[in-house]
Amino acid sequence: MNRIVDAFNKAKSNNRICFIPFCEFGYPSLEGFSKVINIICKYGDIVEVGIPFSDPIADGPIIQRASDIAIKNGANISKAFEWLYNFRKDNKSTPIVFMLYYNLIHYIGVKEFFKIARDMGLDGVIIPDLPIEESDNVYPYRDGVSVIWLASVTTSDKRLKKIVEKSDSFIYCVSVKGVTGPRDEISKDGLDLIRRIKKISPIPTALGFGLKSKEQIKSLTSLADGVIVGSEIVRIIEDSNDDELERYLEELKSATSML
Amino acid sequence: MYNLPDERGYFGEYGGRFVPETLMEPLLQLEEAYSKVKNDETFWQEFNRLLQEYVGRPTPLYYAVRLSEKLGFKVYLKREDLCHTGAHKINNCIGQALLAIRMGKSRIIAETGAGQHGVATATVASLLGLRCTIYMGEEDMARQKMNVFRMKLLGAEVVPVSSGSKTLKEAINSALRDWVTNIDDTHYLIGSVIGPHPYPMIVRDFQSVIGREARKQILEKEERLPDYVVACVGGGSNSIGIFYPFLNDDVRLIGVEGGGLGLETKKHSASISNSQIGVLHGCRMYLMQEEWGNIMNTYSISAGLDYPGVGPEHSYLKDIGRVRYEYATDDVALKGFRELSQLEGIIPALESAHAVGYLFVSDIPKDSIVIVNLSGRGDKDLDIVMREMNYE
Ligand SMILES: Cc1ncc(COP(=O)(O)O)c(C=O)c1O
Repeated sequence: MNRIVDAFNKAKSNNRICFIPFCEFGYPSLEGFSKVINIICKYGDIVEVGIPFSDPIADGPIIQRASDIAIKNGANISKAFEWLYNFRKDNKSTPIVFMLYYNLIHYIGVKEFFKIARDMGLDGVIIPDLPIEESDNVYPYRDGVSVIWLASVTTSDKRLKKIVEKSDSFIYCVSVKGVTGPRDEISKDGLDLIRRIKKISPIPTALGFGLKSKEQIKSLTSLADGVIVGSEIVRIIEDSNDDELERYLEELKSATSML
Repeated sequence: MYNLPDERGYFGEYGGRFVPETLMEPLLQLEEAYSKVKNDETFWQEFNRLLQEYVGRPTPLYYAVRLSEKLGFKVYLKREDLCHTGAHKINNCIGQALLAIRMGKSRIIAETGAGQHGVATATVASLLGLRCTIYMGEEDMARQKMNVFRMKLLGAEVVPVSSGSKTLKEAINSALRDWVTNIDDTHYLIGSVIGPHPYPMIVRDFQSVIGREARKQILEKEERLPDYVVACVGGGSNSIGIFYPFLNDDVRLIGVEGGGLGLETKKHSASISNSQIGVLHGCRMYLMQEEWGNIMNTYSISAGLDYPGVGPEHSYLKDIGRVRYEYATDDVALKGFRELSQLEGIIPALESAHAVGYLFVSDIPKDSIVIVNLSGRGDKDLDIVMREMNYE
């Protein structure tokens, strides 16, 4: 958790907003993932790792496909923890956040899950099918691991307050009505959402769902504290080679500069 | 006094609202709209009028003489197969569509397995002038061609779902993704007592007309309550519909799940008998899973029972011991299908045939009075049964 807070502070003192790239565990293959994540860690201030699930209802076609392939490759939450354990032997600095559906946590048992997560060096979890109304299921058991709540363009001010109260690292702002996947424009409602949070709290905000270009990111540097880019990275991993991935990440990263 | 779900949408430790944040506001809106109409007589008048004049309610409670003779106990069939469109599903569709109109929605979407819920939704959409999109797994579309054509004829768009097992579970995923994208004008008309709160409650309330009628009818015919009420359980809507008005009575309730090729083969959809608990499609419930929490691809001869979970209220009723959950294998269901056709001249839906078939393997004592919910008619299943019977 502290690594996440530090990442926002560090980016800020460097006049940047936080860059949070996403990739899917076990995609394109178990070994391929280990290679990809090392590239991504060179650029990401925080790295979000998706854990494959059979029924990813919040995801669009790109991440659905990656999740399906990862499952076929034998990826699961247990293997993801194993990977993290080994990863942490060499990398103690990059904050790692798992994005995973609630049933994967429920299957292990919430208390047990967070104990393992802490021991393996996980910094936070994003649970796309757990709204704040269900926070009692996880909140008491966090054990130093941050639970990153999502707020959406449809979230009312009343519920936004509850989300802010339970947030301890940053808030994941969902910029669109819909599922994950790249879009050409950032909605006005998405920008308003960040403004609405800023009005009631200093908690950092990161905007995600739909971002893909350096122009979009540039336009957010005066408003958000971070940006999350997922589907487009997964698409590039599928279609292109490591050099192109690296070029893309570099381009996005430089767009996070506020200067 | 039984009064569930609680205000957070829980039946004991089951239920809840495990959905993407964007869906919380429409769920709260639905909850509010429903609590408004709950005491609004004009809403229920309209609902009851359509059930009577359009659906054909009340459906008969029919004493099955020859079936009873063969079994040694008295069997009454609650004839939901006589509802317009051929199954109980339409009761819920009428209720939710009226609710959608009250909320100002102009489009409804739904998932379908066997096609029964899709047909009922498309029917009600046409009746009430709503736009309609139905999600259906490719596998199910191949199994239920006639119903696909029916839905299209009724003016609905049918979207094939090609991910995962290509069945009901994936159709629900796709419907949820549509809803999260189109919440402004769209109501998601869930077809069973599953999903996030308030759906399990709303669908139960609309379906409990089945049990209210049956209770009144049996009192008229027998001047006493039945000893048993038996119904098949997919997601659990026809069963909860008939059980609910009997919950506070001294009546034994039995839910029959899809036993597929037998529990030991793992090719079945008997979620409660399988004993695992999990979270899918918005609620915590009995749920069949693989190692590490992925959802299992289930199997049943009947598409309508082929679902890995079961409604949260059933999960609760199982735990408190109020309802007994058994299963019937494909073979037992096919026996029920044949027996009912030949003894009573009624061809049941394969789903309902599980409840009928169960009677032949049950321990129900002689001279009992049993009500079986005959949730649907079998026309849609003739292709499948023909193949099973090797009929050329
Ligand atoms: C005739 C019939 N009975 C039963 C079912 C199972 O659903 P439920 O358990 O919600 O009644 C279906 C579902 O398609 C059906 O068509």
